[in-house]
Amino acid sequence: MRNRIPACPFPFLSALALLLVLPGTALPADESQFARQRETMVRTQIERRNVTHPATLDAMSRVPRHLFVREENRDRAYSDGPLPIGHGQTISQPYIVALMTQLVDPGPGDRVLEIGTGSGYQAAVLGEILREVYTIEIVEPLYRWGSANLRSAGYDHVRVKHADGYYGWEEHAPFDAIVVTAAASSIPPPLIDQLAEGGKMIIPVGSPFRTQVLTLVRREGNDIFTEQILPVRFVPFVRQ
Amino acid sequence: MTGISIALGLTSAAVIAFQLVIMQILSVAQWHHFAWMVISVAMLGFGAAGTALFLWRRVLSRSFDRVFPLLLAATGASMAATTAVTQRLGTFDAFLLFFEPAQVGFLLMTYTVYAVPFFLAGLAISLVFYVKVEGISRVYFVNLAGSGLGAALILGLMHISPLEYLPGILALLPLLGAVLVVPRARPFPGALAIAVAGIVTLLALRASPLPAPSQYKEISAALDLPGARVTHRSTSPYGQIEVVRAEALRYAPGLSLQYRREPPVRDVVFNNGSYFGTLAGTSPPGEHILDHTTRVLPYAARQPRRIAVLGAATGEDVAHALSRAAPEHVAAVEPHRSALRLLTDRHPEWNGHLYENPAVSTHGRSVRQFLADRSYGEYDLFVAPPIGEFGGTSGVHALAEQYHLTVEAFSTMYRRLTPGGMIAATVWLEDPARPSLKLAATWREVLLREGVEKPDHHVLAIRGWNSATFLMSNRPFSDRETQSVRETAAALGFDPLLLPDIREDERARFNRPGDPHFFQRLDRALGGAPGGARAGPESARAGPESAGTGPESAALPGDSLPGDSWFDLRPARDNRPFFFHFLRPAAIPELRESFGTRTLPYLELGYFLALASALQALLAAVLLILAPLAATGWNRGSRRWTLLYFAGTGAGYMLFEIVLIQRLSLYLGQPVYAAAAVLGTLMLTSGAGSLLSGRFRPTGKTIAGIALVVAALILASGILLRPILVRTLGYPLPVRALVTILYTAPAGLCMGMLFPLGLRRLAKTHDSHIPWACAIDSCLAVSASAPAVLIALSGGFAVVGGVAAGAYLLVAAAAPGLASS
Repeated sequence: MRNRIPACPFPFLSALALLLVLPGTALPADESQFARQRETMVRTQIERRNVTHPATLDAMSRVPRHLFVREENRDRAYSDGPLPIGHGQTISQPYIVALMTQLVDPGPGDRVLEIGTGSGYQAAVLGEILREVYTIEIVEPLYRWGSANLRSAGYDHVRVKHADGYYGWEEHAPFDAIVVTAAASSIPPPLIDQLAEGGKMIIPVGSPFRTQVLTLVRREGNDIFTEQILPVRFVPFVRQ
Repeated sequence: MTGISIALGLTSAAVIAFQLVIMQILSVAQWHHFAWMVISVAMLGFGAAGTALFLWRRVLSRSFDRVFPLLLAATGASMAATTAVTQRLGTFDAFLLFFEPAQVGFLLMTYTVYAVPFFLAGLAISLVFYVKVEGISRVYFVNLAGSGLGAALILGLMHISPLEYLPGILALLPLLGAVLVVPRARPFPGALAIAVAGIVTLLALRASPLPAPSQYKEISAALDLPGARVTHRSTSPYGQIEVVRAEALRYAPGLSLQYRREPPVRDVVFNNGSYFGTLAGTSPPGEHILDHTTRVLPYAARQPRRIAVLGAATGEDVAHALSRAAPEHVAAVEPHRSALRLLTDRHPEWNGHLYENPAVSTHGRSVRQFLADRSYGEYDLFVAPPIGEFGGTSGVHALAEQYHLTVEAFSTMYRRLTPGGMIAATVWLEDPARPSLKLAATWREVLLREGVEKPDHHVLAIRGWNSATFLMSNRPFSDRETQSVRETAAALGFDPLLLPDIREDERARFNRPGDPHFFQRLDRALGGAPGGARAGPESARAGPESAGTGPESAALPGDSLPGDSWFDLRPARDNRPFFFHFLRPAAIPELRESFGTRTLPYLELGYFLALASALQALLAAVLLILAPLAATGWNRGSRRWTLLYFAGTGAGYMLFEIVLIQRLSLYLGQPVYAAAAVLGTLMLTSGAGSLLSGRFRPTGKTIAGIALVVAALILASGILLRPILVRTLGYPLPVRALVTILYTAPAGLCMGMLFPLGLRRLAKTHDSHIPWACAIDSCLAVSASAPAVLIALSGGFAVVGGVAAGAYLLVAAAAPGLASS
C-alpha cells in the first residue's frame, strides 16, 4: 500500500525541508531501511554462496553501498546485481565484491592496493578491514566521484590517486594483496613486481565488455601461478 | 506515368540505401544485433503503410495527384531528420536495457522514429501499386529496379561520403521525385512541402553528427583514457575505421607473467567502435612481444619459411613472423580492404612500413578465397586469426558466420600445407571452455577426413593464463619438437595442454583452469566419442589420474561429465557456420538450476536478441495483418487465400534472399558485397520477371505453375548448384560475378512474376484486398529474417532454403483460390 501524505502537514513539511537542505542525503528512516537491506543482502546473496570469511562478511554488512551508487539507483543498491556508474563501468554485484575480498584474505596489518577505484565501494569494503588501503583510478570523473564517495562514507584513511594503474603505487609497495577491479587483457609487470612474496592478486581477466574470468594470481619467488575462479556475471558490467 | 515511375524508382532506391545506412550508423553507435532489431521493426513501417492504405484507400486514391508528392517530400524530410531527432529525444543504450527501465522507452522511441520514413515511403509506393494496378508489371519492375540500384548506389556513396551525411544525401532522391510529380495545375501544397523538406534536408546535411558510441563499446573505454584522441576516421562499406592514440594503450595480449619489461604503447584501430588491431609495427629479430605469448608455439616447434597470416588485421602476426629467422615469404590476408589499403597505400608509416617488406605480400581477399586459389602455392604455416575475444564473447558473436573456422576451411588449409606444414590457432580462454573444445573437435574431424589415424599425434597446444594456442600438422610431431615446446612453455610460465606424450602433472603447473573437467573434455573432443571414451590406446591421457583439480575429476573418460549436455560443441560447417553458437536452449533450465543468477555468463546474447527480434516482428505482424482481418472477418470473400498467398511470397522471397546472401558471402568473400550482389541481381531480375508477367494471364493454373518452378529452383540451387560455387570459389571476380548472376537470375525472374500476377488476379474480384496484400507481403518479408537465423542456427541454411521452397508451395496452393468469391 502506498504511503499517504499525513493529515498534519508539519511532519511532511519538515521532511521536505530536510530534503531541500540536505540534497542527496538519505533520511534516518531510510538509513534503517538500508541497514535492513544490507543485512538481507549479506544473508541471502553472500553467505548462501559460501563466502565465509568473517572479516569480509562483517565489512559487507557495514559499508553503506547505497552511498556508492548513483542517486537514481539507490533503491536498487542492495539488489543482487551490478549497477551502472557511467563511463561504461559498474559497481559490482555484492557477491563478487565479497568473493574478491575473501580470495585475497586480508589480515591485520596487510597493505592492499586496488586498481580501478570506480565507485569506491570495493576500496571501502577493504577499508573496513584494513588500515592501509590504496586505490588508483585512471578515468578522472570516476576518480573524483569515487574519492567523494569514500570521503562522504567516512573512509578517509583510504588513499586515492588519479593515475595509470599500470604502474601501481611504487612508494607504498610491496603489497600483500592487489585487487584489480577493472577487467584486463594483460597483467601489468609492475603489479607483479609490487606484489609481496606470497602475495595474491585477484583480477577479472577478459575484455571489459564481455564475460570475464575471475583469476587469482599468486607469487612464489620468481614463479607466478594463476587459478581461474569463476566466470563473472554479464557482458560489460563487471567493473568491480 | 513517366514522372511517377521515376519518382517511384528514386524513392525505392532511397529506401533500400537508407536501410543500409541506418544499419551502419546503429552498428557504429551500438552493435549490429541492435541495428538489426531496430531496422526490422522500422521496416514494418511498410506493413503499417499497407494497413493504413487498406483503411483509407478511397480518400488517398481520390487525391493521388496531391498526396503522392506530399508523401515523397515527407519521406525525404523524415530520412534527413531521423538521426538528429533520435539524438534530441535521447538515445538508448543497448546494454543499459538490462538495468534502466527508461531505456525501454528510448528503444520504443527509436523504433518509432526510424519507422516514420519507411511508413511514408511504404504508403507512397503502395499507393502507386493500388492506383496503377493495371500497369502493375511495370510499376513493380520500377520498384525492384530502383531498389537494386539503390543497393549499388549506397556502396559507392559509403566510399566517398562520411556516414553522417548519407541520410541527408539520400533524402534528396524522394525530394527530386516529389518535384517531378507535383501537379502543374495545382502546385501549391506540394511545392510548399518540398520547400520545407528541402530546408530540413539542408539543415540535416549541415549539422547531423553521428550518435555517440555506447559507453560500453571498446572505443569509448579507449577514449576515456587520459589524453586519448582519435587521430584518423574514415568510412567504407566495411565499416567506420578509427585510430585512437593514448599513452595508456599498451599492446600486451595474454603476455607471459614472466615478462617484466614495459609493453609498447601503440595506437589502436577500431572498426565500428570494436577492436580491430594494434599498430604494433615491426620488431628486431627475436624481439617481438608475441614471443612472450602462447602464439610463439609454431616457432617453438618448427621453423616455418612460408607463412600465411589469415585475417592479418593490422599485421601483428605478420610482424611476428618476420621477426622469426628471416622467413622466405609471408602472405598477409585481410578481407577488410579499406583497412588494408590504409596500411599499404595511404599510411604505411603507421605500421613501420611492415607491408612494404619484400618478403610480404598482401591480399585483400577473404580467407576462403585465398585458400581456394591454388596459384598462391603451399605454406609451411597458416596462422588463423585469434578465436574469440579476451575472456570470451558472452555470445555476442553467436550469430556471426565464421567461414574460416569450419571443417571445410581447415580441410582446405590442411591440403595447402607443405610436408610438415602446420596450422596455428589461438583461442582466448573462456570458463566454461567452449571455443577450445569446438576447435579440437573440428580439427579431429579434419584429420580423420585426411586419413590420419591418430589425431592426437598431429596436434600440440600450450595454455597461458588467458589464452591457448593450438597447432596441427600433417606430420606427427617428433619427441624433439615436443620437448622444445615443453621448454618454451616452462620458460614463459605456460602449461603444455596437448602433447602426444603429455603427463597429467604438467598440465596445470602454472595455470589452473576453472573447470575441473577441462582436460577430460578436451581429450574427448580431440579423441572423439563425445560423452564417451577416447578411441585408441592414447586414451590413457585422460585417465582418472588426471585429477589434481579436486574430487570431481575422478570421473572416468567414458562417464558423462557435469555440463556435457549444456553446449553444442559439434564442429562448425559451411552450412551451419556459427562457430560461436554453443548454448543448447534446452539446457537453460538445468543451467539455471545449477547456477541461479550466475547463469548469465553462459547465455548467448546474439541468440536471445534473434529470439527477441522474432517475437517483436511476430507481434507487429499480427497487429498489422490480422487486425484489419479481424475487422472484416476471416471467411469473407477469399481473404484466407490472400493471406496465405502473400504471406508465402513475402516470407519465401526473404528466406531465399537470406540463403543466397549466406552462400554468396562465402563465394564473393564479403558479406557486404554478397548483400549488394544479391539485392542488386535478385531485384533487377525480379523486376524483369515483373515486366514479363504482363504477358501472362493471371490464371490460378499459371500462377501455381510459376510458384512450383520457383520452389524447384530454390531446391535445385541448394542441391545441384552448390558444388558449382565450391568449384569456382578461387576463380577471378568476373567469372564469379557471372556465376552469381546465373545462380540468382532464374529464381529471381520467376519470383518477380508472382507478386504482380497475384495483385492482378486480386484486382479482378477483390481490388480492396490490394493494400492489405502489400502489407502482408512486406510484413512477412521483414518478419522472416529473424526466424530464418534461428532456423539456420539449429538446422543450417539448407533447412532455411527448404522452408523458402515450402513457402512457394504455399503460394502455389493458394493461387487458385485467390480470386474466388
